[in-house]
Amino acid sequence: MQLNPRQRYRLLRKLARHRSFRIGFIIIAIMVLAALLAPIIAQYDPIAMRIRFRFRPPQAAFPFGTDQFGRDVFSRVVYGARLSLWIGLATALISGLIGAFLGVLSAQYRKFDALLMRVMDALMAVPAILLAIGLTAALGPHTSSVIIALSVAYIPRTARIVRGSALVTRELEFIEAARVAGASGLRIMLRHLLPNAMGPLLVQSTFVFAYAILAEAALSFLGVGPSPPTPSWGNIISEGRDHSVQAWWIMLFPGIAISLATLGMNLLGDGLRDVLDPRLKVET
Amino acid sequence: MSDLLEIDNLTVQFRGDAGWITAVDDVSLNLREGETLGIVGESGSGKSVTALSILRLHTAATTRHPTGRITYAGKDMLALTPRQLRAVRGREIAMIFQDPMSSLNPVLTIADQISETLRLHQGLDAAASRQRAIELLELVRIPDARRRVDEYPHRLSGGMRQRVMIAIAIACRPRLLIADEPTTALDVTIQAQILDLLRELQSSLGMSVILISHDMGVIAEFAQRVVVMYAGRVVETAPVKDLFRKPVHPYTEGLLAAIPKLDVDVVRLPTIRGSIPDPAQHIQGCRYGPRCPVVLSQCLVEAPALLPAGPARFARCPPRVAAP
Amino acid sequence: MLRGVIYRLLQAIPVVVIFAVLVFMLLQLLPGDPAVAIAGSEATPEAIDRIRTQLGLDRPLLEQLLSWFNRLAHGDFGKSLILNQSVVSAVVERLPVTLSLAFLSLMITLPAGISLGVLAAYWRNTWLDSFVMVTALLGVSMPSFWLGILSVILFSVTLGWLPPAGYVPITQGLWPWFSALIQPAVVLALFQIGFLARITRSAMLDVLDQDFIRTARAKGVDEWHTITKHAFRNTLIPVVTVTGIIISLLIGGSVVVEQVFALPGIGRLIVQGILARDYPLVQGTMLIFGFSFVMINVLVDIVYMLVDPRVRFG
Repeated sequence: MQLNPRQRYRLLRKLARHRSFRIGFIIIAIMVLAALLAPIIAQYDPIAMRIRFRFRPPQAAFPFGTDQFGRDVFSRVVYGARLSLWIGLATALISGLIGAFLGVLSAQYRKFDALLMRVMDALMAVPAILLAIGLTAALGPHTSSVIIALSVAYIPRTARIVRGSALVTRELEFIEAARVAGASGLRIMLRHLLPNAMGPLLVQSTFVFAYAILAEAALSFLGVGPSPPTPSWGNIISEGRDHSVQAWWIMLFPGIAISLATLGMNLLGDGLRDVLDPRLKVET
Repeated sequence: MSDLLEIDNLTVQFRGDAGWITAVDDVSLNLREGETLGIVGESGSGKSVTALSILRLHTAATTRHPTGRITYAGKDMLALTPRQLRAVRGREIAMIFQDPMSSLNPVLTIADQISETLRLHQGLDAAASRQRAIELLELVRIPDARRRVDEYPHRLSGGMRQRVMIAIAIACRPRLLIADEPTTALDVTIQAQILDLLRELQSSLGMSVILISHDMGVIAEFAQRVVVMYAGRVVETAPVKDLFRKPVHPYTEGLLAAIPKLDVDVVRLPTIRGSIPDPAQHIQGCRYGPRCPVVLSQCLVEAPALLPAGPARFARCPPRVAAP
Repeated sequence: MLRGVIYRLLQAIPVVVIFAVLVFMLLQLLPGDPAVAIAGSEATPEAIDRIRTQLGLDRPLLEQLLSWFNRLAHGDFGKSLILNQSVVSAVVERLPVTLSLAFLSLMITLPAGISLGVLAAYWRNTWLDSFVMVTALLGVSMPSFWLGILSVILFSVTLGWLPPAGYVPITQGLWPWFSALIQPAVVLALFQIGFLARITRSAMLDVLDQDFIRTARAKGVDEWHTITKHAFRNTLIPVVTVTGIIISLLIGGSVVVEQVFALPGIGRLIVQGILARDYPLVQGTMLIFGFSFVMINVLVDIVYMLVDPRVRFG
């Protein structure tokens, strides 16, 4: 969608009034703030073990309690937020950029489209999480592997969305007019196809962010994500699992954090979709 | 000849972005038994909403229950219970709509969709209703009816789909047929065929018809009496010949002037300048005032009333009525 | 329509081939020498060499690829290093578990998701709609493994109603089988239900706005039949297309849920293989997954072609 400043302003106003969007925005804003201010908010080193304080229930000194190594769960959750939000953002950006590029290319050059769509279908032949597990396993238990793996899992879905939008845009008459006027393929892609796909792309990327948070948690829970002692919401839960009856707090708070973060992004995505075009499809 | 349908002071509002929008504002009209009434106006004039109100078919979620009175054959339509309303719909009053492409259910066969009415209102069984469906298709002149009846709507052309809609509508021999822009979505040649069909069915079945259109040509050909609507209000009512020969309201004049004529050479087609007012906006005085070529200062101050303007004629333009 | 079916099947072939190539490449992604990665950092040089020749990693890439395809064509999906059995037999052993879980979960997801979506759409903008949508939103936002753990704490540890883990084959009784699977199945289904409800609602809203719904009412059809006969049948069409994705999400989710509930299924197999660096097992299982999914998607597409008369009767 190419919008003039006034339309853009109206759209932003509509977003601001949308209830889901507002709630989601507030949730995410608080979490991002907490993540950025982690060194200040977290009173304790998330990795340092202080056996003397193990298994303390939630109290003033330790708002979320401590785990079996005496580590402050609150500090760990806050640092985990850094990791999860960063992974979510990176995945959404990378898959968004590459997916958009591929999608627009596909819509413009049909021969490339035939080949690319088969490859994308092949990548989508397994559930995203499975692909991510496989890739992370191959690449090693690092944050970067998780980002790459998740991006690869979501690039095909994003490419499909952008391709769909670009194909529709191509059918519009002004493309024909541009071509007759001598516009090159590249120009058409950049000036027309891409801007019109911004809406669906933005909505899809928001949901990719949400799925990435959940997926990263699952990956770390399974033990293929960033390895301990680096705190990730997923591995805090998996480490706290064995003690879940006596020290339920270890497992509860990271789970709530994951749910809140995902919920926030989903609300943002819903709001964006309602405002931009309620009929937009989302690929998972 | 008594009145079959009487609409008195109908007002219909629906929810807009910022409050209620009045789509139909204090509209009154009547239809005599056996008559063909045409309602003409631009998109947004409220003509469709008026028609939908008769059978209460507007979107319940966003529309306020209409105020006023709609009397059909002695029944107060707006006060009927849902069950009573359903007994009238399709049986005594039938309606066909503008877009035959989307007005038929894509996953049911033609036979299914026609039989539905027959089984509902006439209690026919599957075999009898199927047979009757074939007869109805032949009545609306669909070739090869026996085979067509088992097909799905997407296999039929627009004109044929509209014929199917008509077949469904007349299946139970309704007393009143409301046709909301039945030809607007069709090619001109098909338009003529459909209108011919409607006329034929009307005389053979003795139906009264309300025909809604924005096309003056269609109205001229089909209607006996015409109601002209603008911005949610009735602005003129007259027998068709009188309306075309000597329109009273400036809007009607504008509409007639805008029809291209074969025997008149023009460099530029006359248009009505401006556009219809925003329905959410309240206008003081005559709604047509801002666009009226002969507007007077009093028009923009006082809201004009609908006044008698001759035998069986009404017009909402005091200056014109006073000095024709 | 037969032509459509054949075309769809043909479309699947290049996808399967490309997928097989991608899985093959997985081993090449390993940083450094694949043989070292598999054998482990403490392995002796002889062990590494043994692995290298055993897996054919010393031969040129193209030759490896061709022999890979050759083996696949003969149904040989590799041999697990850890389990000392063929990948195929390892998968077949665990198939009933994953299938039971997926089946039960699907039986919960489909009716629940569709009914909630339909209700929310019909009562649009009422409290019911908001309630359903909020619940659906929560469903897609909460991690299933976490819900699983919470569920076990509540239903197994505290209340003692259901077993906390493990699988019971149906041969040992319907209730034992059911009670062991019901927790994982419900936990798995929650995400799917939320997803399906949102999509069904959206599809139903689209259909309810269509003109033919107004036509049905104009004919005097009562509300119940307008919704069930006219609206619902049309809503099912887009829902069918989504079923493939639902199944995909279901199997993906089962990978995690099987871990939480210690179900000896295929998902758990893959995770074990990954953690043990049993790459032949991982590759073989991925391949089986991939082929199955491509087939499932083809089937879903065929069902769609059957259900939509516009496609079936052109």
